[in-house]
Amino acid sequence: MQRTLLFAFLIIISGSCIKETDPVIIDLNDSYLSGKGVFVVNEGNFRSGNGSLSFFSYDSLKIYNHVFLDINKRPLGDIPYSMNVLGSKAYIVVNNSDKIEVVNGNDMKSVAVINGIKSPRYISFVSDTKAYVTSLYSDSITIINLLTNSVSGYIDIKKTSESIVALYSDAYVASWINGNKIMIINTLNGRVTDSITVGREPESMVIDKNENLWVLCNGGWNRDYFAELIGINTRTKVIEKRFIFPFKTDSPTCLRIDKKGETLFYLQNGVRAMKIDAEGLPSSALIPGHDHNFYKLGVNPENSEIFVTDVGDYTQKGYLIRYSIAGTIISSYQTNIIPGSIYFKVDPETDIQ
Amino acid sequence: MIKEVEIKGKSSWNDYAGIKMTRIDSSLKSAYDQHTLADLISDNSLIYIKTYGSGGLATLSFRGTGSGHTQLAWNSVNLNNPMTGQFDLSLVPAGLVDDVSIFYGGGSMCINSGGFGGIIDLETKPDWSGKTLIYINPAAGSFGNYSGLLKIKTGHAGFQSVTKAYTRSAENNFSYLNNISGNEPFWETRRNNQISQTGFLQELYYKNSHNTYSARFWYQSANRNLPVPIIASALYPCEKQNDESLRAMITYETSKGSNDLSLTAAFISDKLNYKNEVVSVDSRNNSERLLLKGDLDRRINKLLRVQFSVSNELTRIRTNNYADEKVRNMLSGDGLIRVTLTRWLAGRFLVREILLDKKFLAPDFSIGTEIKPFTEKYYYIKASFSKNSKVPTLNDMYWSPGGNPELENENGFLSEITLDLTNIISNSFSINNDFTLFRNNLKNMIQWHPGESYYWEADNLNDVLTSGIEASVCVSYSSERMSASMNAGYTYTKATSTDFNNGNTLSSGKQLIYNPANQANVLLRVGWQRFYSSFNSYYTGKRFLTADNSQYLPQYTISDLKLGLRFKAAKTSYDAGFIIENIFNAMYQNIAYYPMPGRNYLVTVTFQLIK
Repeated sequence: MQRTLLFAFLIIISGSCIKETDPVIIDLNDSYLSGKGVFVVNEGNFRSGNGSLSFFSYDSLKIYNHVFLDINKRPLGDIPYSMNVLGSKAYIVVNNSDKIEVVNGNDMKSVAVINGIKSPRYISFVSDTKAYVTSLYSDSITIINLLTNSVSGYIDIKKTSESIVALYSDAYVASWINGNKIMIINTLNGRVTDSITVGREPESMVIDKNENLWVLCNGGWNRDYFAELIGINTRTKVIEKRFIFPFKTDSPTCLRIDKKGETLFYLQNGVRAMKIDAEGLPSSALIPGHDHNFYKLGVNPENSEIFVTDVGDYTQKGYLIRYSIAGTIISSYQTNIIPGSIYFKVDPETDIQ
Repeated sequence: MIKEVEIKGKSSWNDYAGIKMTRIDSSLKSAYDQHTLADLISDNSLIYIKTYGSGGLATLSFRGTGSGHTQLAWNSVNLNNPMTGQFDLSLVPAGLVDDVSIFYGGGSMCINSGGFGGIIDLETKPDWSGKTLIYINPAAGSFGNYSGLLKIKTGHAGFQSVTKAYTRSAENNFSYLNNISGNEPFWETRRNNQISQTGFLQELYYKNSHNTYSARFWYQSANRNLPVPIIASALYPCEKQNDESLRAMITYETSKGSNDLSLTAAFISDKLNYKNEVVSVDSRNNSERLLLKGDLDRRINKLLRVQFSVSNELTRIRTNNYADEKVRNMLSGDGLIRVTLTRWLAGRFLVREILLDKKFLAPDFSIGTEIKPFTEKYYYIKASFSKNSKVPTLNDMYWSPGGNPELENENGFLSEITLDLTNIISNSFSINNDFTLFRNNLKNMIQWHPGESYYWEADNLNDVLTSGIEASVCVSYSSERMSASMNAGYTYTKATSTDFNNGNTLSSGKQLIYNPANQANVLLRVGWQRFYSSFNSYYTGKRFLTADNSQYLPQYTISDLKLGLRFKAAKTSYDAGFIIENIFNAMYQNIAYYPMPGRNYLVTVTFQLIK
């Protein structure tokens, strides 16, 4: 008995020497980042720190999860939300960690961490040396100096912001939560020059081949307003098209456009597709939602394949589902928890879109 | 450390036939007067405490069940918040209570319903010796931790007054190594982690030949800042939480002939306000409960005792998180038979019916048996099987959005068998071992899941199976000048989801999150004349963080050392204690990305006057 107790005691004491403190991921994959592929930003659960980055490789037709952790030996952060690339650098916006991770586009090795950005959502490059970052809670746009990877200033737009699109010397910023404005910032002098009133809660935006700005307004989380799809002439700043969704319960999200800038895609009980010159909203889904819980959408600019994330019950691993342009399923791949924004690596060297 | 309960007074060895019940040694409890209940239970039992850190929310997880399935009672009155179903152990100093009893599994039905894992009963009581006690216990420790506890017990053989008051404040600004926020690890100081709390307990007792009357009043409040996980950014201003509770209880007990009668009325008010200015959340939650309870215990003959109990609990919730004010009434009736079949065999059968508002629930029951194979030895075999129910919390039913008023109650089928052996080698030396196997099959578990709209909804979705073993050994030695003891325990708990009805089966059969499969602890105590010391160490195995078990928190072991001296004069005594907590400076996390303090110190001084 005494020996048994001594053994148990020594085991307990020996545990004090264990050096691991932070969460540990089981079965990390070898990352495979060369070649063409698709990045998926997995948001993870709020304050759980289980956000991550996945990469689907066209070469191996496999998905590699925990890419950032595997390479940099630390977690990506809490609620990584979006990603963008400029030249050889990729910028991963980590919303609830108030930071942007700057990594090499080729190998995802960390280059810098830009901290202290209040609840960042999206980053848009307005020049080779300057980027704007939108914010869920701040009324200001944060200006990033891309040469020093640091915050260089703020632009007070007096509203919180979500999606952002830069075209020539204008940046169009959507005021999402409880908002109904698109703010226009002159990127040369950093001043707000104009605003356009749109529908309730403009959630996502794209530019078409005619340089018109398309804005998807989802009507508000509480369904108090009708959702709208709005087309704005960026030269005149005038709304030229306005499609109102038929029911207040309609809540479309995640507007995307194909490489040619001719076909719009968005999520509403599945994936819907609509030509930019269509006279009305599509009445049926190209890809029905059925048993899925679709969350984010991407259209491969090279081959027009449609990728959609399925978040399941939000607590377990989700899926990246790959469809042909005709809406036929090709394959699906297990990601991590809450797979969100999708980015395409079309140039084997660096380019991500 | 846990010590097998000693049955005294009217109770006999078979009063709790088949039930595993333990009591935390009172001499050990006194060493925790300046700690919270969470610290006391975490260090000295194998119950898992899920805590957000010093001063942060601390909840119980017993035998693999959730925090809402382990209950906390004060003199048998349930204290779990009716909105959340939980009790925050960090808000109660251990020095406030006189006894801590732990009822495992189905044994919890002796006290209340819904404790699938068990119930911890906190007892406050008078000292009828007629002496006056004045007890003053200030303490100061690392990270701006200051506290004070005052107890005054006075009266005579027929009347007793007990007064207790405490205060505590802490900065909790400890340092930790942050190796996740940048490419190089760096030391960081925990911010926005302050807590300030006060409390007051007044009890009055009166007794005559057959009757005892008591009145108890307990007020406590706590203000704290809530730190964020280190992987998230700090909020400015930070999140704040204010808890305020008022508990009042009057009891009448009488004993005439073969009948014992007990009547209790209690009023419990809990206020919890949470504020997050960054996201404009100002959550205000008030619950009020009025509880009436009566027990009649009748000894039919030497072999048979019956007990009838009726309790009614009226709950009212006012919160800005429900659509409107909610009121719920729960009427419960129990029948209990205790039978001593032979000198070595006893049994117990309890049946309970609950009327929830106007709806009768399926009856619950608990059956237990206890065998004492050798008259002259303290060896027991205990076995029980129970069906227990837990009504949904009011948040599950009415939280807006997502609450589901149509929820059904959760059911647990609980079985266990315990072998309990005590060997008294001599007057000064004894050894106690116990070994338990348990298996709990929990049905209709409530789970929040994504709904068809933006928000999540509550439903009866999940079945859970928990099973495992518990083993402990206690060796104690005492002589005129010296005392020494060693307590060690180990538990293995397998807790899995068995029937996931929401379409995603990745978690089916996997260990539930934040449920360590392995836990162990050891406590060594040595006292020699005026000097006393203790060393305790507890091990917590890895805990999975994701339902599919793809991520876990590493195991850790925390050890504490206490050294002290006691001086006694005629009517006064002094005690000076020095405690080193986490003596090996282990870096660990109990909840992911919430760092815990490294090595820290606490100095306590106790002055006690008895006359």
